[in-house]
Amino acid sequence: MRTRTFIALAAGAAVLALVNLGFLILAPEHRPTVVVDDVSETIAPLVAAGVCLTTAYRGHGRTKQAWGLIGVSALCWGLGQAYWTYEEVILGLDAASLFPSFADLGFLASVPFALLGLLRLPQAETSAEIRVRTLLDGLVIAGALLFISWDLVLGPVYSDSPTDLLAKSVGLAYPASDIAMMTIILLTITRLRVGRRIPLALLAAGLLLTALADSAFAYLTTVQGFGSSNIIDLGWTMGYSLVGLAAVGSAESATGAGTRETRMPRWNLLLPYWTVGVAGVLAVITEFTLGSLNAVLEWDLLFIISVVLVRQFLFLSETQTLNAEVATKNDDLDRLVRERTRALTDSLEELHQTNDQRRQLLLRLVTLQEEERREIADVIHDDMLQSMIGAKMRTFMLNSGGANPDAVTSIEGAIDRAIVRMRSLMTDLRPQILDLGLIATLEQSIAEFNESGDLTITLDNRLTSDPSSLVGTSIYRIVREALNNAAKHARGATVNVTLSGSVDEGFSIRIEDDGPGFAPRSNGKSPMGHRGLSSMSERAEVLGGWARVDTAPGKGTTVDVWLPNRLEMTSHVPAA
Amino acid sequence: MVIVDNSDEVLSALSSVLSDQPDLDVVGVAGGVGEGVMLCRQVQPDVVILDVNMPDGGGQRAAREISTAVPGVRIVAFSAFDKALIRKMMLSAGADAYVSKSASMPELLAAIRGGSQLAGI
Repeated sequence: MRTRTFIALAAGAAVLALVNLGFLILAPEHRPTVVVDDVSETIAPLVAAGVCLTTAYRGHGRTKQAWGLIGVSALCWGLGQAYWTYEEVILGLDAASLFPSFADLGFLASVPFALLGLLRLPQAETSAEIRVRTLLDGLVIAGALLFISWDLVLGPVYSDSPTDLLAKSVGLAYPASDIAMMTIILLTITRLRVGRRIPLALLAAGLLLTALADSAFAYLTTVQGFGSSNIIDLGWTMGYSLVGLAAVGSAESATGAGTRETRMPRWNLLLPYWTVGVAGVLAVITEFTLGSLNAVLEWDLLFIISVVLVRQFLFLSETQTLNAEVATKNDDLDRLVRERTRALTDSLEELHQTNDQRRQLLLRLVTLQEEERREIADVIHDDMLQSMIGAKMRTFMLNSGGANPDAVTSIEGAIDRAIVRMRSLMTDLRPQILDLGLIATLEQSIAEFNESGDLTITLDNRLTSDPSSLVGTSIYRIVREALNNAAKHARGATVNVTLSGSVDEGFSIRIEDDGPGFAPRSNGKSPMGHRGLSSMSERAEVLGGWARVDTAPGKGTTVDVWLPNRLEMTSHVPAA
Repeated sequence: MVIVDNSDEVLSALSSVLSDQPDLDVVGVAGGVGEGVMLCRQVQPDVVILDVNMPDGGGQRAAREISTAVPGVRIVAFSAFDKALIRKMMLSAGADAYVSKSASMPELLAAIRGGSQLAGI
């Protein structure tokens, strides 16, 4: 809806400008041209006033106030121009006699309203420093514009203006107010919130056009005598058309995407200074053409330089403060990083200690368990088993005592079964044969497996020294576990058991079969039915060693175990 | 004959059963290796029934020392272990027969009397 209004207004403004331009070019100084010129100059600000006031009516807060004031400004100007048109077109008065007139009241009244409106536009966040900087920027811009204006407009107007005080004042009021207007416009542009750029750029452009037209009008009026229809007039028509379009666009963007705060482009920072640049170029040209600058220009130049110096001092001190802040923040950050690193190292250390303690505890537990098993096995062997054996022998005497032979046989049978159970319990707890040495025990175990026919096992003993009792028992248990697994999952396979290492370098055990193998779980856990693998790992890890299973379907299974002979010797599982 | 066994239960059961046999005469019993060797040296028995699993070097040491101290003695190793390895060890240490403690009494008697070298296996 508003986009359509915008396009319609833009088209209207373009037609107005083109028609006006056509008349100005084809029939300058003719009456129809004057009429078209005056009428379009009246329509443009009045339409702009209407649009601005509508936008204000629909807006909120600062935006509402801003567009209200700009609307009133346009209205003042439009009414002034309407009065002018009435005098020139209806009453047929000569343009030269119309200066100064009531129309000027409207024109000049529009300026403060426009200035106030611009200042009410929503602006970026401000701090005391930014306000001071803005004030200085304003002074720099004003000083530079005064220089330009005095050199080009204000100076000539001042010296060449008619003696009539009112005419002189009104004539000077235009370029003076234009300086103020341009200053505020330039400042506003640098500090506007981004996100509604286009409407505000249109507003700035529109107001700048009217201000330029004003200055040109003042200059021409005073110096040459202003003609009623001039190309300059287009400045006002176009200017107010742009103001109207800005108002429509602003209302549209306010309901649209909203305001996005983004960083201003860098060139905006230079905005106050290009006016200084222009002033500088003008100063050089004037110096060359006239040989010297007049007093006003010299003082103005001095003023600009002073403000720029103060601005520079302010900038440097701000930079210094910021640098100091950055340095402090850096120090804080450094300290924080160091503290965190220390805390992390400490907790890592604690973790290691806890881990070590846990392992020590486990080792102690395993040691105690082995000792306890041995004690129980000894009690069974030395006490219970011997009693049973003694009892069995004594049953032999029952025969000669004339006891019932069947009763004797059944007692013997019961005792035999008890003996068998005790033996198997003893072997499970701790094979006493381990007292005869690890290798002897393993050979015995392997012989039993071979006799059962489930596996064909060979033992390759490359040990250069005997392990401690605890480690020897662990090796025995690990090998038993691996052989039990092989008997269960690789029946009929050939198995090689290889022992190597020594007390100093730790002991390596490899149990290698040519069975069917299996697919290891990706999570490293044993597949179903292979629980012995994890118990081997646990047993090895408790002693500070490791166990690794290397297998794949059809590839056989290799169990590698490493055990240190002393607890301090630890190692991690090597990569597969 | 002499019986060496560190289990009192076995020692007393064995001596009463064997004393019951008309052709056997138990001349002494010992509960340890050192004591057993000393006893054999004194009484010079024809047969020694020797427990395998004893402290102070066990049956192996006892078998070696007794066979040296008493020439011609018949040593019957008597063990709760019935492992081939132990049997081999005992026989090489000088034992003439090896009987498991879980074997029947007639088997032990046969071994004592020289009827079988490897009874109760």
